[in-house]
Amino acid sequence: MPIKMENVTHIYMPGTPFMSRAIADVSLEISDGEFVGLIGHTGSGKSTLIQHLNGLLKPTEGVVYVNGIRVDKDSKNLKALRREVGLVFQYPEHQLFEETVYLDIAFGPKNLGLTEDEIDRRVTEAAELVGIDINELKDRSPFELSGGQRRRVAIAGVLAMEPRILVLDEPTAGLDPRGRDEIFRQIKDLHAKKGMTIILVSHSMEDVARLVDRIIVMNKGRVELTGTPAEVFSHADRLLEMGLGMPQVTGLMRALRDKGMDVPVDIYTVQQSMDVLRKLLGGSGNA
Amino acid sequence: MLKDITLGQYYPKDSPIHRLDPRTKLVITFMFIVIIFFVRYYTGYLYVLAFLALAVALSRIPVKYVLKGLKPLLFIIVLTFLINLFFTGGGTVLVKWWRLEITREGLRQAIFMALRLIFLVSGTSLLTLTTSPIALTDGIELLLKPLRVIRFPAHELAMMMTIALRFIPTLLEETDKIMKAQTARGADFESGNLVQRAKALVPLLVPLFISAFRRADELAMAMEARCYRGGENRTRMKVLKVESRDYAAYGIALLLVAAVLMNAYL
Repeated sequence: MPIKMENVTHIYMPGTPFMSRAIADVSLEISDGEFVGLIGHTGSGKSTLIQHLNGLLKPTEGVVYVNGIRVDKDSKNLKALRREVGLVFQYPEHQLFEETVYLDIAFGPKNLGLTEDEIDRRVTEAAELVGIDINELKDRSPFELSGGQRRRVAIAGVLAMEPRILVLDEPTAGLDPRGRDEIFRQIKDLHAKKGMTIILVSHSMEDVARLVDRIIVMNKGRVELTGTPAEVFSHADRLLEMGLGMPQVTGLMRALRDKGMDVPVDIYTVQQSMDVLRKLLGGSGNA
Repeated sequence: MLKDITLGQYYPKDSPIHRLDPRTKLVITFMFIVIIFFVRYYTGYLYVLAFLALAVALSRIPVKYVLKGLKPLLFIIVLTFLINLFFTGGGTVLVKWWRLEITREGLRQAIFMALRLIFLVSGTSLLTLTTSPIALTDGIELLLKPLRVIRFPAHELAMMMTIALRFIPTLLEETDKIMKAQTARGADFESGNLVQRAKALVPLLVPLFISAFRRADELAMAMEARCYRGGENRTRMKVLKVESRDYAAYGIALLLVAAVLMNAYL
């Protein structure tokens, strides 16, 4: 069952001088097993949007359907929804609180009221999915771990809920390049092996471009563009207008074309650009 | 969840009252509080009411907002009214029922007390509605500065207040974020009995404490990196200046004082 948002508007603190409209009239659909990137500038409404997906925020206007569960402004008791959608917030390691790694990952499953055996199975599996050796770390305090490990423990805590849809808000912010690549590789694995629907929020075009099937671009609370990475990056002027960049290789291709060279501009991964450049150089270099 | 909490109650607007020097507002509020206790007749309250109405009108804050400050104190106001109503002895008896009697004196006393509380609360909440917390601590610091002679740490106190105020929204935001993160993991903060609810707070409080300490540490480091060493010889970015509108405000406030005193003692 897919995700469907119909004309969703969210207003913070209505009726006060601090009232602000975070998202306005957003309609979108995400099908099962899709890997979607959600891109937008700070304050474009991305974070507000994803919190609607598991009912942490309710729409001021409009309706959200997730796996057949309907959420509108009057919805109550959204626990069932929270089992469907796992939400990994920015800097998820700030939510760690238990004495040991094991207990922290087990917090979610425990709240679901599962049996000890089932909790154990889920903790082990979730830890494995994020590349943590649970046998070595389970009795350690999460606060003794390195930043990257702590983040993976926190992500495992969400995965242990076994959601069918996983939403990650800037999962690699503040990590070093190696930690970032590892997290992305694991997210990609989750998508490939477990067939999860994944929504990745980011403002790094580079990262999003090489991972996702489809990109949704938000600007000032509205969905501005949507399509495959190639389609979205072909609207480079509009992206720049919104203050968003494009992958460096896409920029390079555009610069080359401006110089009068015959290159395609819907290139967004290093691999693609290498093929194009090789052809270009091969053509003139061998002569 | 926590989105409905507004910090203090500052109501941002550009009005003559908002632009007054915070020291002026503090001193006038103090005068206002004192003078309320000098009111002896109902007519005295008319002056107080006129003064307050003028201030509210000038501040362009909806009356509804000023009255909202009374809500949490409604219970105390009603209680004060009832106690004074029933337990003031002497005077002509108006109503007698079982062992309770309402006397003319008691009724008067009750109305007086209730009015006094209402004016006190709405007057002081007008101060916090029109003055941002930071301006308020600035004003307090400057007013307390003369006390440095007796080694009163005015600057340190004001800095502590400023930092505390500065961190309230940050910590609220943090609380909201952690609450949401734990709710997403199936935590339930809204149901269960008292013990269950207290237990449910552990996943919220532990991360909150950790982040508060982390932030305090970072802030201390950042302040030291910029050579902060207390109030000695510090200049201010916003120098407070008493202007003509402040004198006008003092003038009106003195008029109120004079009117109430004349009403009470002449």
